[in-house]
Amino acid sequence: MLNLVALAEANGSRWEATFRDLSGRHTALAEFAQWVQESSRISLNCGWSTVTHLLKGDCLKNHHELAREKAERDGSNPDDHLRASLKEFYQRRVAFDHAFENGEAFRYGALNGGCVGLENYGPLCLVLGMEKQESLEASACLLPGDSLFLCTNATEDFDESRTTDLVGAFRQRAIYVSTNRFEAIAMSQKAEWLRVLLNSDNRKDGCVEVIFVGTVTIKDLEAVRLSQAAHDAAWNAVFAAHAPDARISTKATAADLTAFFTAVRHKALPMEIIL
Amino acid sequence: MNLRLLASIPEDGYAIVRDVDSIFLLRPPYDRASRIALLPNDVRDAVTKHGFIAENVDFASYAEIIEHLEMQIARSREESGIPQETPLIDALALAPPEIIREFLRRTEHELIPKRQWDHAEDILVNTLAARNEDEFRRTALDLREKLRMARQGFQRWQPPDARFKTRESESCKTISQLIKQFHRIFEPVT
Repeated sequence: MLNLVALAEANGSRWEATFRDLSGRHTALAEFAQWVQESSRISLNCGWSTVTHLLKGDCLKNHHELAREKAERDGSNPDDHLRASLKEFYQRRVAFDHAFENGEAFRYGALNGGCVGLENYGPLCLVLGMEKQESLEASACLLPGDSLFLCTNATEDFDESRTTDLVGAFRQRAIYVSTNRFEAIAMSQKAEWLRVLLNSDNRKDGCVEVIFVGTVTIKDLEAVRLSQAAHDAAWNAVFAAHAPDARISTKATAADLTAFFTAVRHKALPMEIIL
Repeated sequence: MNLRLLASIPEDGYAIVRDVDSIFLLRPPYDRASRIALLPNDVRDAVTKHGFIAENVDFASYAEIIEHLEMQIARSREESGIPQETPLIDALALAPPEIIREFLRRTEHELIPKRQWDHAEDILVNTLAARNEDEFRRTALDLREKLRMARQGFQRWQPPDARFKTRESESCKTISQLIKQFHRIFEPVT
C-alpha cells in the first residue's frame, strides 16, 4: 500500500524547482503564490442538512463511513452499501482509496481563496479554521484536479505513475498551485485569482483537490459561506413553508435554516454571505 | 418524457437529472429558476466527493421525480432524526430585519390579494409574537386589520358569476313550477 503523504513529500523539491523556473517567466507568480499562502483555506460544499447534522454534534462522513454505519444498522456488508451508493463510480473510487494507507478515511476538499466554493454541489461552503488547517499542514495532500479523473485510467484502475507525478504536499500549496495553474495565472487579472484557484472555468479537471484524514466537526469551521442568492432562497422557503400546500422539501429547508440561524445567533457558527 | 434520476442527496431533496441530452441539478423549490445545468463530469464529482448517492432510475415526468424526492426527504430525515419542519415563530425571531420587511411586503402584496388568508394570518400573528420592533409591530397590526376587512368584505360579497348562477337556478325553478301548474290546469281529462 502507498503512502500519499510520502509521495507528495518526495515531489517537494521538483515543485520548488519548477516554481523557481516559472517565477522568472512571469512576475505575478510570486504575488499569486503569496496570496494562496495567506488566503487559501480548505473548503467543502454541502447542503443544508449536513450543517444540521454538524450542529447535532455529528462529524462529516465520507462514503466508506456512511456504508459502515448503514451496515452496522442492518447487519449487512458495508461493501454492498458502498456499491449501492456509488454504482458506476464504485470501481474508480475504491481503486484510488484502496491504493493508499488510510484511504478509506480520506476526505476530499477544495482549496478556496474566499468564495462560496463549488456551489453546484451544495449552496453552503464549509471553511476549515486556521487551527484545523494548521493541524493538517503536514498530512494533507494536493492534486491539481479530480483524483478520480486524474489518477485512474480508462480501465478504471489506479494509475500509480500519474498519481506519483501529480501529487503535492499541502504545506507547499503556494508553489504547487502557482506551478499547476501557471498558464491561467499568466492570462488573468488579480481580480480573477479566486476563479483561477477554484478552476471554475475548466470544470473538466475541477478545483485543486485537498485530500486529508481526520474528523471535521462544527468546531473546526472558521465560517459557513453562502451566496446572497442562496441565503434569500432559503428565507423564501421559510415564507413558503407555512402555506397550506407547502412541500416537505420546503418545510425541511426552513427547518435547517432555522437550526443554522439559531447557531449563528448564539455565535456557534460564523456565517459569511458573499455578494 | 424520458427522465433519468442520476444521483440525489435524500435529506436535502437535491437531484441530478438527465433530460434527453442535458443534465440538470434540481433543488427545492424545484422551479425552473432553481435548475442548474451541469456537465457529465459533475455527476462523478457529486457522487464520489460531495455526498450525492448514485441512483440511475427512470421517471416519466418531473412531477414523479419530485414526488420521489419528497418521499426520500421524509424517510431519510425520520431515519437520521433531523427535523422535517419547525415552528414559524422560531425562524421569524432569527430573521434579519430586511427579511421581515420582505415577508410583510409579500403578505400585503401577494397573500392578501390572492386570498391566502390563513397563510397571511400565520405570518402576521407569528411576526407579532416574535418581534418587538415598532416598525414591524405597526405594519403587522395594520396588515391584520387589512386582512380582517378583506375577509369580511369577501363574506358579504359574492362573485358575480355566483349571483348569476343563483338567479338562473331560481328562474329555472320558477319556470319549471309554472310549467307544472300549466300541466295541472290544462291536464287533459281522460
